[in-house]
Amino acid sequence: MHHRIGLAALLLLSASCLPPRAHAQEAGTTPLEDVKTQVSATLGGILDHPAAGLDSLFTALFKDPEGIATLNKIWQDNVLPKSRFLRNLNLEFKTFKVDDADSVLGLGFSYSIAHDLAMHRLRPAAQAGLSLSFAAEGNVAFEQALNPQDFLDSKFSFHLFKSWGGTIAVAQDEIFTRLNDLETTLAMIEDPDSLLNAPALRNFNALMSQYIRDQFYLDVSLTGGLEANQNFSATQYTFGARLGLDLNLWQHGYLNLFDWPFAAVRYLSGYDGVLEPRGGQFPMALFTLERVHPTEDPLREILGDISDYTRLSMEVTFKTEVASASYFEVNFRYYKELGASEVIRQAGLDEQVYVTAALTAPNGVFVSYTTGKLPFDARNDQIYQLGFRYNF
Amino acid sequence: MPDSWTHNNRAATTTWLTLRFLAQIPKDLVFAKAGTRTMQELLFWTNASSAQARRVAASGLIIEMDSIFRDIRGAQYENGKSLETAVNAIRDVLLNADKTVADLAVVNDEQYRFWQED
Repeated sequence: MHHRIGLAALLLLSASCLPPRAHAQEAGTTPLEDVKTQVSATLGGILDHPAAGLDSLFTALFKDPEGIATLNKIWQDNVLPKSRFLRNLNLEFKTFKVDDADSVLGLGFSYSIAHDLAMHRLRPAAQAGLSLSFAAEGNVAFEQALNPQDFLDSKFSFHLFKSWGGTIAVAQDEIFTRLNDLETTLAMIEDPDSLLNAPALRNFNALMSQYIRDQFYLDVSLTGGLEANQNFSATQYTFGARLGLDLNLWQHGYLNLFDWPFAAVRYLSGYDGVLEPRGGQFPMALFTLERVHPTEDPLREILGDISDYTRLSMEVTFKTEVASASYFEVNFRYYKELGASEVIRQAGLDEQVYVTAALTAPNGVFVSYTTGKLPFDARNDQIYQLGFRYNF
Repeated sequence: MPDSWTHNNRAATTTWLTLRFLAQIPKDLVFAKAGTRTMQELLFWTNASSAQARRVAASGLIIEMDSIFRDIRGAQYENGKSLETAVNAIRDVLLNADKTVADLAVVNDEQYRFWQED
């Protein structure tokens, strides 16, 4: 019941932020307004008859994807923008089903935020600097046992960043003017095929390419923070160093071996006229070496080893286009406790592998598959998702 | 979508064509339809990645966009703006899943005075 009360509180906050009815009437009734009205009416029912009202609300909002999408839209339009802090928050209500959970749907939300608090460039004109950032993310289920990703991660990081390559020369005034003229011509084109075949596009790309080289972005950071499960029965502090690498092969796209299979798909489907990998879609990687200080961890306490340890982790992300507005993406995470004790190794707590792959179609329909476990997980989960993302 | 998403707005057209050149949007996406695309539809955004990974990917993209705007397209920072203000403002848009390309153009317009901009 507690999770439903929590959700009701979120919904009441959402409803309190809905625009006045008069505004909706002035603008004409839309499907979104209809659903908002239903939500408001349902919330009124909850106050009168809490149990029945909540059941009705769950049925209305979580039975079909549109209800969840509506709730997400209400938050995005009416709640998050009003807060200076929350406006950078990505919050998404969702349902999920775990394969061994007897067909029980989990209800909850995920959140993520990454915000830079300060930045200082090292020298004028230098593509290098220092910055301080805060990042947090997690997945919260209203029934914790059904949470397939029960891992909240909140970190402060102090960064040193530098970019090499990219643009290599400053163009002259006549080039600025020429590119503007070509851009004006291209912006007037309304047909996709006409855009692809426009001589102005070839000229624009040729001119731009004269000033572009491969770009290598490096981010080195000291990072520290808190990791926990959603009810904080397991918590640990971390402190360490992280290396982030992002490579964009604008000039040598053929070296992006990871994109060759997708280049073949694009070529065979006719989307690409030539067999050519995308240099800008080279995988991005993070490597982290951290000291972990467990403060609460029931699994490790049972095993009698709650001592600090060193953890090496990596994350690799890849996303590319399969066809126009159709994307394939994969995220791979690996955590390894260095020098783990025998009892930790035998319990399988010294290593976690977590992989998500997804395919999104142009109409917003997506299918994703996740397997593996995150820190604090004792078992591997397999999560299938089929849904859609769209904007009202 | 902001009213400023018109082909007469240099910040809007340059935002569109720069994202296209950097392979962040489909190559057949015409200007008129690009303004409503959200950040999570851009190629740098991976839904399953961590917030930190997304931040690094966005940061590299911002540096490249800034270089293109200023070195190849002749843009200058608006009075009182700098690389620091531009990077922070653009990053706040890029890291918000539901912000649109048109929203990004508005921020670019605030930070840069584009070549021959009215």
